[in-house]
Amino acid sequence: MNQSVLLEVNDLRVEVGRADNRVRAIRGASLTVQRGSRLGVIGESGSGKTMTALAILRLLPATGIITGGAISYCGQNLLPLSESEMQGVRGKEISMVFQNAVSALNPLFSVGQQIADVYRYHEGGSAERAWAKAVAMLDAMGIPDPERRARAYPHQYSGGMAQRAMIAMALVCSPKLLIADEPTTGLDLTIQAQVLDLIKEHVQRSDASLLLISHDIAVIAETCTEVAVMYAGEILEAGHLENVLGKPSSPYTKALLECFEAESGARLPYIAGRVPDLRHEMIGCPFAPRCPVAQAVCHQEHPEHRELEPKHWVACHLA
Amino acid sequence: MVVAGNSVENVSLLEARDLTKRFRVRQSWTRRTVVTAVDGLTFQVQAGRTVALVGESGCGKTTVGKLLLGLLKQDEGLVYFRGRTLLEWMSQAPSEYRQAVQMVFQNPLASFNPMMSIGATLMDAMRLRNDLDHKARRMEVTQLLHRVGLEADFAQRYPSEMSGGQLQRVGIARALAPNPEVVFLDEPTSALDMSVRGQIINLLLDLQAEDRLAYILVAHDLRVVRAIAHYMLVMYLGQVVEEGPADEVLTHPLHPYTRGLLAATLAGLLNHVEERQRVRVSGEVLQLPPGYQGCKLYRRCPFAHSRCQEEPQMLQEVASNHAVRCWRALDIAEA
Repeated sequence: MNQSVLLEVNDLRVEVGRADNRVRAIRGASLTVQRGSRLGVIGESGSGKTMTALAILRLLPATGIITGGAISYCGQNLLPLSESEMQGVRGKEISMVFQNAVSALNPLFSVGQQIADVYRYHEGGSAERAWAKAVAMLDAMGIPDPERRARAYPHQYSGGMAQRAMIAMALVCSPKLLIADEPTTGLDLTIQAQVLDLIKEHVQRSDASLLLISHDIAVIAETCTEVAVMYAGEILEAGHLENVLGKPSSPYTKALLECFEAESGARLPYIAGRVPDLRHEMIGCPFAPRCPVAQAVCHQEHPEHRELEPKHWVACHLA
Repeated sequence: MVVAGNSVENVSLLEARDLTKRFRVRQSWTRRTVVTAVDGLTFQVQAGRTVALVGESGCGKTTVGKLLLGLLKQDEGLVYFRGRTLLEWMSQAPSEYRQAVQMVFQNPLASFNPMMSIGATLMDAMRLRNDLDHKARRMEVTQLLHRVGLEADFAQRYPSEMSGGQLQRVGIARALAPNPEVVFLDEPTSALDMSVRGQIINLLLDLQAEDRLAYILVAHDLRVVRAIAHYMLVMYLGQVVEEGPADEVLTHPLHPYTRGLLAATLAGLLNHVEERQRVRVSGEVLQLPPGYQGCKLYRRCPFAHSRCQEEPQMLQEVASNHAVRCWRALDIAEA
């Protein structure tokens, strides 16, 4: 086992939904998070980004099951762990920041109390010590007047503040891996930039790793060192940020980048067609039906991952 | 006042002049305070042109929309449509105004009645049109769906059976149903995936070219603004801080706030990272004490100077058609 690998997701398969309507949400996705690196997962809605994160923490919805693959953290497979063993992992080893912080926090407890609870669950100690830790965390997240704000309730927080509090809660036990699922979606632009800086700074400072999920390439380019492009439950391209965004090889990555780099006055580029229906079995490349350069082979054979150059993988017959 | 655009026909279709709206907000059981949501907004839009209002939450964009649609009454200022004030329209011909000024909402899934088929929704939106009988309206539904790039059989579908992009096309069809002249677009693409955003923007451009529609676009995605706006106004806490032709403002932003917004959006892609570091607006939107006269961005601005806090800032024209509410705009632009 490679010592520098913190989290390895290998050929993960997840199905969600009732028996008559099962969606193959993740269809053999593999990801690696190196120690100290920041991996961004980019994809459109329905591509399986959030499901991947939830599967790692075993927080899938009630109808969701992991049907295959392995998730190993520090060389240990997480899948056979019991629920109580997973509780020791969540928040302590791997923690998560959710998209809508105001609704992810419990409205009935003060923000400081919720942070202190996480700390006491994992680290023990007195309630006073946990409270002091919570206040210190809020302070570190740049929340003004942290003593008073810790006693406030989530509805009294603005979106940006709540997201800071959520990050404080995620980092209170110094986890080795922080998973952030669209942490800035719905926040104002200037606040977005601040929250991303905050995440980046604290992850770097505590020598942790980051798994950042976003649909916005700009957010990932700004924050991450590695990137994985997800589509229809599969990873189509992955590698070092500069390699993937600078020399995109998969037609999907290329098309997605074009959508972001539109010039003024000209007609905007877009990707025709729709994300495939994941209830059905797919034989070929999932992007083939929308791909501008697809060949016969793309519809018939599933492309395997190939290493194009060091730190650059792609799953495409034509790349 | 800066005149929008340079079209041959410079007659404004819809115009807002010194529009001001205040809300009394309860802070506690006994304390009330006045929030000026829109503060002296002046702009105009001509047929076939797009004016964009850009800003973050709390800047007054939504209030502007409500004022223009006649859903709220302004405290000061006037709205003119085809040379007559909104008050006149509302007292003399309210349905005519409502037919002529339409809106496309942000969240397509939330802005449709889930119990009504798409066809019924579009028929309903055509009630304002007296020129069509029932049969003609049915034909018109097919026509509208066709115009927004959907098959006729979508009329039988329900909102839950459609994707976000398809539904936003219907949202646009619904706004077009009464045959409007002005369409207020409230963040028309922010709920959509990047890969379909371009389709909706292209559709809006096509429809504008066909019908000479005037668009008032509210957006925070500057990529969308760059693609369709001719003229843009950047708002902060109810005030316009910068305005000018969209190309000019986006390539030569002068106000620190515009620069901060621009740095936070268009950058991020590898080659722009450096530039982004330059202007960073700190903190959150602050409620200002009553009677505060200075620059509203003062506490968040990296270039703030004691004078900014003391003097009211005026919107000043710094280049042709380009105005900024910042006395330091020109010297910090060079820094």
